[in-house]
Amino acid sequence: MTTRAEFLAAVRDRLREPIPENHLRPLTEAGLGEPIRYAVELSDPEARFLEAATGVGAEVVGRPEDDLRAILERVRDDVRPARAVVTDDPECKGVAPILASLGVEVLAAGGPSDVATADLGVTGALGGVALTGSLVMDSGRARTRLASLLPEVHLALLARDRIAATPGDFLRELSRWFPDGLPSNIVFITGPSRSADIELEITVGVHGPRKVLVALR
Amino acid sequence: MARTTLRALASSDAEAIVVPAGSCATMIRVFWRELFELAGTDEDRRQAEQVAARTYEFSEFLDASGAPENAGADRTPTVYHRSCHMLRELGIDRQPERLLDSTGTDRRPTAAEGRCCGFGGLFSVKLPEVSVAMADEVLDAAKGAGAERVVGCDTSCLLQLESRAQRRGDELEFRHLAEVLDQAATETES
Amino acid sequence: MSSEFLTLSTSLRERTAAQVSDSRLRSNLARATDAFADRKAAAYAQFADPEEVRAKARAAKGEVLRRLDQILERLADRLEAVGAQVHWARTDEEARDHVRRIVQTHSAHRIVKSKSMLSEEIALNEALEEIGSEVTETDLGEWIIQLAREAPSHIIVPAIHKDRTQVRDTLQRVAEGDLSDVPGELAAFARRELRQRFLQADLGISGVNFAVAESGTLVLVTNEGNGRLATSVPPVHVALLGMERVVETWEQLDLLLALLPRAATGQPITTYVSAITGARRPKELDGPRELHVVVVDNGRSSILGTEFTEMLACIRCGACLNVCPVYRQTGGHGYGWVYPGPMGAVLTPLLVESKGAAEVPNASSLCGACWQACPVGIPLQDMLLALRRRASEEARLGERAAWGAWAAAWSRPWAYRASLRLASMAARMFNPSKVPGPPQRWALGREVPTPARHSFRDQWRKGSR
Ligand code: SF4
Repeated sequence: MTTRAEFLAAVRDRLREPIPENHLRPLTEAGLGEPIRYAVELSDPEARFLEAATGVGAEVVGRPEDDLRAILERVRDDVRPARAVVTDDPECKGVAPILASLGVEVLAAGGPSDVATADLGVTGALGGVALTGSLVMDSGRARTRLASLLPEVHLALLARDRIAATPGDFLRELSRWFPDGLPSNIVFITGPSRSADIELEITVGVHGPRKVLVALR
Repeated sequence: MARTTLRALASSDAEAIVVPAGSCATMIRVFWRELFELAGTDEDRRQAEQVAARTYEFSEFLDASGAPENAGADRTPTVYHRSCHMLRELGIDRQPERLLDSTGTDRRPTAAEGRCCGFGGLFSVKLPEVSVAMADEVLDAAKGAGAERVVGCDTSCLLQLESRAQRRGDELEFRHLAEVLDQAATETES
Repeated sequence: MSSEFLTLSTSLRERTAAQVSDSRLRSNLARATDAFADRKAAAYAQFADPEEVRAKARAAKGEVLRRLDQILERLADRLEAVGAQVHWARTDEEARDHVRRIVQTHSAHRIVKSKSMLSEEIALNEALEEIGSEVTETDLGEWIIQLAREAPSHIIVPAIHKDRTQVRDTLQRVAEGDLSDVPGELAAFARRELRQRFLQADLGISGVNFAVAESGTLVLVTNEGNGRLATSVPPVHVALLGMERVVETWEQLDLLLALLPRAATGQPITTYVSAITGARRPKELDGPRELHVVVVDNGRSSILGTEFTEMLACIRCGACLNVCPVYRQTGGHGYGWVYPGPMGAVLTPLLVESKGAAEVPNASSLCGACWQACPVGIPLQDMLLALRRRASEEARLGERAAWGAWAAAWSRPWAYRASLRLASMAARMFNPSKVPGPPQRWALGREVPTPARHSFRDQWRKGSR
């Protein structure tokens, strides 16, 4: 078996001489420089986030001024979940008791086959991205990555002041978002699971949630 | 071969060299630099640069010198075929269409906008079935647009399309842009 | 992937001609590639200056390739620091061996896979089935292909060549009741079928879209959620990483991440972008307990340092396939190997050594649409031309002369004129379709053109003004 040293030596060997240039279309040294410039209005991140998120099929079920119980009640009436799983994200504080009082069984933390029996997953979001309407999940805070994945419906609670303008803005500040280092799993979620594998027709809810609900806090 | 042409062009003191086929203009303006970079002398490279700088594709030259004002009476439904080399290598985009429009012709958009005719030099005989299918798509789009005439600036594309159209028995006429402009000008004069 | 589907041992012409004669295939492809074109244009319009983003991405990839050894080293250090196990494979065989060993160590019988072209390249599924594992492709399109025992015909949409009826017929083989041909219902069937397999799987295999060296992170870009499932549910995750799919910094990643989905499917971002840094941490309730990364060379280093180096900048977006007028007519299978379209026509002869592979760059009219579409600005048509030159230098002299004369005739105005005359003379004297070689092939479906009544050239000469 090839060792790391052998593998890398073979690569290094190929780079001893300068790489021949394409004279017709030379590579410029256009350094990274400024972040990508977008032709999209981003001055109000919250408004853009809501527009983009609904544009990809997420539903907004709550605004910061709404009462948490009222939001969860609406979700229960809309989704009629028998069982829910709630993560340890700080935004989810208070969710489990309210759901229980609304007649929804809340699962104790468990493995995949337990979470798979839930029809609602409630998570916090570490942050959001305005340009794309994305929610950022952090497996470190949530302690699970499946609550936003296995149930048919995913409800995410996102603080309005944690919305970055663009994916690049988020990625350039990773050390601020994750002061203790990167968790094992970060996922940007943008709308419900989808596939275009049959005639490029977009179908929703292939393997992940069919519905993504967002409540701004 | 390229060097013979290069010497001939370099020795001319004409201000502009106007080439009536997009592919040939591309050869001189784009690929010669590469060619002489690889297999030329310093003198070749200097000459190639200097020739390239004053070589123009026909429609590009004419358009830059101000489109002729000759709104003719020719209302033939026409599709303009944008050739790959002109479009992508020379970046000649709307000039030919502007010139064509100046003749008053009924120019129609096509569903195969900017799509290759399938000629591609040797490609046309290496993979003839694919090449023909590509031509078919361009021809079908022209007919779908209701065109009776296809105008282009590249003789090779026109040759490929015309050869296929003849075989299919399509009622389509194929003209170089220069022919159409010439005809319009002649009509305006008389 | 079943081998009768992809072969480089027949001639390129035979293969492409067979595909072209399938009119259903061609209309399926035309519909799909047209839809791609519209979506892509809308997504690019979000950039203030798309060309600037492309140029920066190309430069960033160029920078990475120039220092690939150092960046891979940094990646490996970081991966090990976060607890991943890194395996190095110079060849496809070595890569298969690594995966087989991991599978056997865990007695993993049930394996779920998320789509990976690299796994197609190293023919991994067969290798795992040989040792008795049951491998399930979980990307909807890839599952369809697996059930049909075909090979993907597109690097992003594997079953692009099939319409809904053909998909229904394929899925019907594993369904109990009758399926409809409504895409949404077919997808729901796949969800039910595959969900159980995820929950029971012993091991998950995925590809990697990008690896970020500075943090040792694997980035996966997916839409369906199967990629997340395959890398989160089973206790072991094996990630296959092509050695060129690495960037150094998150800043570089931003560029490629912005371009990949826009170029691929016209999405500003895919539904899921996962960033995986190591295996499950102590306090976490789920996620794989082991993460293995197999770094694969398999011929890539032989491209590095040559005039084809930039091909290693390819981010596998499929945009060049979607705009290619040849791909549009032939689909993916005619190219003969796992990578189709313009990127495949460049990669195949660089990664596979055979006469059949050397011929694949001919599947291009050199129209340049691929280069224009490529989000990282790879000059594909220049490479295709160079590869043809290389192949013809190796070809027999006689063969070369016949093609050479024909090439000369069509590339020079004077020869073009002469050949037109000659051809029309010949047309009157012989039946051109009987003259072997290039003229016969031209006459296949085309007339040998008779010069116009008064050709442009003659008219110009006369100075008809
Ligand atoms: S060559 Fe360019 S366009 Fe084609 S798949 Fe690769 S990155 Fe995409």
